[in-house]
Amino acid sequence: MKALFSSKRLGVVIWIFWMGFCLALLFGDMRVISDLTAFLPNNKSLMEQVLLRQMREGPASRMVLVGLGNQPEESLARCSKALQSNLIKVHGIVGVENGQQIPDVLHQLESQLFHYQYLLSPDIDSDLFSRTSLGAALSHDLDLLRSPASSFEKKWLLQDPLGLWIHLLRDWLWQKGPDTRHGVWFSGDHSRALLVIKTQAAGFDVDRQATLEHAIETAYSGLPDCHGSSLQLGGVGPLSLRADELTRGDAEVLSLLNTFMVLVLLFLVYRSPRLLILGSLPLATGLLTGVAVVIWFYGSVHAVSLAFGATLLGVAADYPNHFFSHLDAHPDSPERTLRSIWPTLRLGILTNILGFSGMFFSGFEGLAQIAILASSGLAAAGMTTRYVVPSFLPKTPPRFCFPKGFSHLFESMMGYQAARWTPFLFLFGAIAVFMFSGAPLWNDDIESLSPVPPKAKLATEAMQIEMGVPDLRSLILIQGQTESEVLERSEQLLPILDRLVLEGKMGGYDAISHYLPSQTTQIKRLKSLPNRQVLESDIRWASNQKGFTPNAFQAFLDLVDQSRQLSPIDSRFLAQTILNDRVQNLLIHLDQGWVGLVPLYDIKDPKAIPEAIEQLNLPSIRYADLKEASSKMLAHYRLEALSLLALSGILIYVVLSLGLGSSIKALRVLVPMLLASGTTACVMAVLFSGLNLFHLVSLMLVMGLSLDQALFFQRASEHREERIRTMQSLLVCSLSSILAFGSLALSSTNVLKSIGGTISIGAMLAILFAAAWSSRAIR
Amino acid sequence: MPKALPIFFLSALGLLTPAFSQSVLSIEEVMALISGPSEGQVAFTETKLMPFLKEPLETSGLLCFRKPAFFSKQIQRPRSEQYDIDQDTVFIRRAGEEPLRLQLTDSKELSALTAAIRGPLLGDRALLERFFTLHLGGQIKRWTLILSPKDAEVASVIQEIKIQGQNDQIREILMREPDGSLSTLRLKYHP
Repeated sequence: MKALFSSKRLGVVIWIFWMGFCLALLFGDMRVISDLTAFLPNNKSLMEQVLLRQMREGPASRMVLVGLGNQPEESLARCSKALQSNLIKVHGIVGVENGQQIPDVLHQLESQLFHYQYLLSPDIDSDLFSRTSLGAALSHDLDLLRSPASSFEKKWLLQDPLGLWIHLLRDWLWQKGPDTRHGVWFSGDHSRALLVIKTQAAGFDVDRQATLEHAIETAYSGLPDCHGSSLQLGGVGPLSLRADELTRGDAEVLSLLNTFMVLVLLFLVYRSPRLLILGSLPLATGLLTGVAVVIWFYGSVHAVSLAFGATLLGVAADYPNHFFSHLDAHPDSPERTLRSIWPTLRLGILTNILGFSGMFFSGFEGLAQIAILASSGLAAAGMTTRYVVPSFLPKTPPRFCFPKGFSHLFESMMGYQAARWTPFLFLFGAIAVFMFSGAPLWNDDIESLSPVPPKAKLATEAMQIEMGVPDLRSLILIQGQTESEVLERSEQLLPILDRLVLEGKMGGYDAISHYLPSQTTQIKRLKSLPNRQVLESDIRWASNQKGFTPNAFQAFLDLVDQSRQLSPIDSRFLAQTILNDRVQNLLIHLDQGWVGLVPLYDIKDPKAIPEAIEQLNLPSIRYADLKEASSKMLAHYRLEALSLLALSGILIYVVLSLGLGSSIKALRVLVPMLLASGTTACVMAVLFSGLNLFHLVSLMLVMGLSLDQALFFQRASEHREERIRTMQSLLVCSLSSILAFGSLALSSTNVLKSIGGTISIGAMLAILFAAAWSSRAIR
Repeated sequence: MPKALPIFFLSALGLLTPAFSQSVLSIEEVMALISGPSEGQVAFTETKLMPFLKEPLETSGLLCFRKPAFFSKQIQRPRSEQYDIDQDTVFIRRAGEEPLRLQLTDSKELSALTAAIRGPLLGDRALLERFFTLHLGGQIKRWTLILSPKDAEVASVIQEIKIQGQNDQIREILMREPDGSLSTLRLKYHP
């Protein structure tokens, strides 16, 4: 007795220390990363890296679009100006544009780049300086001088009679921005003032975006000029926030609901608050342990891994239930019961861990974290159930009390004489429905995973069109070993894209070679500049022809002289000018080389562009559809997860055979579980137009639960008394799972609906099928 | 004779006094005079002299205005061009080119330039005084309103503007620019 007592104590002591250690670790170090795209893998391919980076940090994801409405134009204009000067000071905001910046931008462009026009202008060739060309240019200049704008045009004209700078500006600033009224941007119908906020944080970084949104709203409400107007935010950041809020809101409400329902159920069954608390110890320990271990190894945990891992830990909620329901009134009952059920329970825990830990080998960091969280958590929960919970049980544990309704349920379940083939009937029926419905098996649409309310999505799209933001989905990627290679290939590509624009297949595009010509091109341009003597005589001839004084264009001759001395510029030079804003997102330098991005605007014929690129047949130029690429990525993971699961399946079969002593018994345990999962999968595929990642993880939970149940059914078939108790415990387990997750199925978000639906239906089928497969043994 | 002298003096004074009171002209009066109608149009010819041109440039056409803030310069010769200003926006239409739209608020110099022509025709003194100090000389039969730029930005494109008029009509608007250019806008009224 004494020996027993001290080992009991030891267990508790160790447990207390362990919990303390975990808590300390979490309080000290807990970092939850909610950046959804950090969840995506580190792929080795250059193109995929760039794509990922675009999705994560691309300029489009860092823009928050602002619409101010509900007031007359002048009022909104004042509000826009006040908001702009206010927000620019906020930490985390890199820039705020509302149209006022344009004159300043033009001045800066002029002071930084005017003198480089002979390198940058696409009009430069040897014909440009011929007498005919000069003559025509001067005629045009006379027209400009006759116009009211002559006071301004004069100073440019004398330095740049060919009008190269104006053409350059038109090329660079071709994008039609929104209308300007009262000096600031307005929507097409002039009902809303528009602003663009450039943020430091990427759109998917939910935490930072939330802070930023709060700062914007605070600044806005504190401005007297904005009183009475309405504020609307759009863009990737705000949409991610809305999605997050919706999911979280639902999850919180429903978790409270289902926790309440489960507690009520358990209380009705156990009639003892003490047992209720004891029953939650393994789960709590498991959760704490799982998170602590992940943090120990990774330094942080992904929010999605945390959510999924915690879901999978739901299996551990059943461990104490199995234990408690086998107790009887005998004083030695705890130890006796534990010893008798421990082998089965241990086998269950082991197979669960094997099932979940397979994902550890995935290339997807998120999946690996889920594996670690779930496996270590289950191990800890198992240990707690075995060594800690019994120590706290009262000497004479109270007996189970099933309400009258339940006893009737029992009788019917006891008489459940279904033949072994009933589950197969269910499965085939489900498969038939699935085939008929024509639903795909897998739904890799990344958008279906994110619950953005459609109204918010439409509002953002409308604002994006007004602001001339590029289509975020499609890009062309140009690869090269050096910057020059990318620039030259880009120059090759431009005529093709120009043709597509002319044919009306798309509205426009932006490319690095618009702003930065290749070294070859720049040198060619410099070579076409005539020497001073020739140019001077030609311009004098033209001046004389058109009525200019002979020395009118000295400034022009000086500028050409200066330009002849220039050396070609590169991206580092441009990075120091105001063009950097544009350029930094069009040319990217990675370890393995350089990539040029060509965003496409207003695509009218989506098939025309990939076709044109294919015709080029150059491996270094590729068309990328971000949505397709992300779907492919999801499909890749899914495949990986499934194959790992299959491997663990084989391992589980082996372990079960060894543990149960016979491979046939192992089959009897595995088969109902597989049938239940298969049926659930078919039903979910029909209801959701294909299974997504959440369905997959939930199915894993269902498999874990039903494996445990089947094991206990298998064991109980030897003693009839035991069978009643087992039935009771399994019923409690199933009901608690169904209640806990069934409520999630009521959510409006796809994510929670997927998880809730899968687990509640799966849990129900699991117990029915497991019962069907073991009832034979008793008869 | 000595008895007639005082009468002579008195009558001489009497003759002179009306002429005196007539010649003290105020800016308000001039502005009120020239901005009578709420809308109208008048033909013009414009001559521009620039230091780097051998000959002056000439254009002719029509000026239209409509209170409170619409003004249009339609050039008919040598080429057809139209510049419409409404409130803060300028619409530019040139033959053979796409129409262009500019915001006056983007450029102080542009605002000042357009104010110099728009202001007098629309009778908008406040608009003129935003950019210029006004100085009036002459009499009602022949007056000159001189506009001098108030700040350095405007002074970089305009040195001085002289508006010459007779009674209630503006006859000429002369603009002198810092580089020595001179543009003369002559308005032609139908008899």
